[in-house]
Amino acid sequence: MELMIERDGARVNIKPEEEIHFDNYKEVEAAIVKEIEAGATEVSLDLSNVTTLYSMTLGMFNKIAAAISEKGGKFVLTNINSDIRKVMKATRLDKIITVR
Amino acid sequence: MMTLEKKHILVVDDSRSVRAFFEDIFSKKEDFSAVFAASGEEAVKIFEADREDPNPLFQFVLTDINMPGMDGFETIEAIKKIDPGINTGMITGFNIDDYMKMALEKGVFNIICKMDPPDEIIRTVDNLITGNNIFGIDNYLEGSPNIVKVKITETSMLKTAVNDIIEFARPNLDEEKLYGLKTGLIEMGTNAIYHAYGYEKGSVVALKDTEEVVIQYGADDKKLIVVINDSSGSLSKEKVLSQINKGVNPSPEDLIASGGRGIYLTRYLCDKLIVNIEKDKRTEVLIFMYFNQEYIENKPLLINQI
Repeated sequence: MELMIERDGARVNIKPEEEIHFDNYKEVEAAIVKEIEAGATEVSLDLSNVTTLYSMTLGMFNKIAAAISEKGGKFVLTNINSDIRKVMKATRLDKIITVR
Repeated sequence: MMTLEKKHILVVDDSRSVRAFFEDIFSKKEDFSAVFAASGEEAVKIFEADREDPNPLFQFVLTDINMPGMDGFETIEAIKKIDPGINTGMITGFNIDDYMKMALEKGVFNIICKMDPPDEIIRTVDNLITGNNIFGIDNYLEGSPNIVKVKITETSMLKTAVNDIIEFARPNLDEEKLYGLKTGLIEMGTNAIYHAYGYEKGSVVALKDTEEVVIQYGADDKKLIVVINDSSGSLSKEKVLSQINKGVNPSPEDLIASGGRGIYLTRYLCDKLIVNIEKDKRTEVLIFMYFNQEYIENKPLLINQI
């Protein structure tokens, strides 16, 4: 999966260039974990190119949010569509993960 | 002329109009005979008298949940004390999610929605009485529609099948429903592949010859149904209900958990979900999307295990 990664000090923005599926979401997870391990304290995942989120991806988001929070950092989702917003609300993950 | 063997049921509802509605729909079915009670207390008396009779009749008790005096859960509890083997079901016009926690505590796996089409209510009651005709898309579609069957042998085939189903559904469903259907299909499809056969989530999988995942889909005038079948039967009705309840009433631990949302999300986004389990043999998930019917919160709870 192609990911566009922009770094600004400890802030990182990661943008998947295609849909996150059940068979490629671990590539997104690995990229985010790598940034956290390298010292990123705020990771934004830009979902402009993502139309649908599945529970496996939501679970991954939860793991990431917990891992970065342990280090005093923050995981943020940006540019989510209304369908994804609905899923975030239904699963109450909008209370756990910051959405901008 | 063949005589149909009657199914005798006791229907409990405090609303006169609802009792009249059930009287109407059951009277049109030659193979059903219904007796009505206006309260849980009355139902228990009728049932007790029936069980004292040398030839007891009732095979099934269908009760409203929200009633003055004994509610549906208490009614079922009292009736099960008289005859633990009696088949029971619940029905409500309220949001079934409000009763999910109680259903889990009391072991109630089927709550029918009063707003369901009458023919589907009858079919559900019939299934709960006989246990027959639960499995198979043919039992849920009217007429003889064309049914497409796809055997999934690797993960990439799931994506193709989902895309084909979405295109099949597109003329009859709006974008919001298509989104719900797509999400539900991926959730239940990945459940069938990864969870049923124990593969690592996120990996590319080629199923072994002994591991079968089959998707079937078709539509009648009113609805589209997709059935996802795996041959593991690894789920249990308790686990399915527990996962739905975790989505409806999440604890702080559930909120931060990394898994277990798929069934809840599918039920939330699709019009109707039925889970049929033959333990250690097969699990069948049926996803319903109606063309004109609006489900918001009043979705039935339908989990069957034989």
